[in-house]
Amino acid sequence: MIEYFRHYGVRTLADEALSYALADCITKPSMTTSYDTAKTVLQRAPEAQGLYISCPQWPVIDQIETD
Amino acid sequence: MRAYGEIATIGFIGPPRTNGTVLHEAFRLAPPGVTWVWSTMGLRSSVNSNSTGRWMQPRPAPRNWPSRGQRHRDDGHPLISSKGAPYHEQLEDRLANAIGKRIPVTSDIHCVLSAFAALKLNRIAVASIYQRYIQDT
Repeated sequence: MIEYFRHYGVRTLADEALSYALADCITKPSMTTSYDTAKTVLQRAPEAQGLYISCPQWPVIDQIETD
Repeated sequence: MRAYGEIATIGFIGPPRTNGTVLHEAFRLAPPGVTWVWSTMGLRSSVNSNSTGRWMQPRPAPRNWPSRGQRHRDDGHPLISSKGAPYHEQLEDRLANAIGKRIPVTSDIHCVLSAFAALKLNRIAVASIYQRYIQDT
């Protein structure tokens, strides 16, 4: 995704990839994993204008509404 | 005023393992007064593949799809990015041409890029559960 976004003029200042295998996507994430990961990556890129949380297997809306 | 009515029908292609999350989030995003009525169909090329390598390869929908009067179609699949830019534009063109351009075709990466443009974002942070080689491409 990072290279893809770069092609369209969007630079990724920091990123976090949890490297889950396919089966892990079902069993490993908790309901707050996306929130915790987002907080971590934002701490590394305070000058970022936005945060993109990717993957439809992640429930994110509750986390986005948390902050 | 009708108590019930159909506003739009959307065809959505997504990895089958994401259905539980996508449906739940879709209901959360629906504005007041709007709900979703879902029905699903299996696409053999996706359902029968178990390896990550095959699963991550986007494939065009069958030629006769959509066949139930959809007016809009969203070919969502985040791993389109694994094909390299501007693959989503090529895929959307192929799908649109395959169905005679009867309905609009878009993709999730297209929507994401459009959101970046609308919000004037060019410096972002990214969080995902993907593996590193997917994240970097």
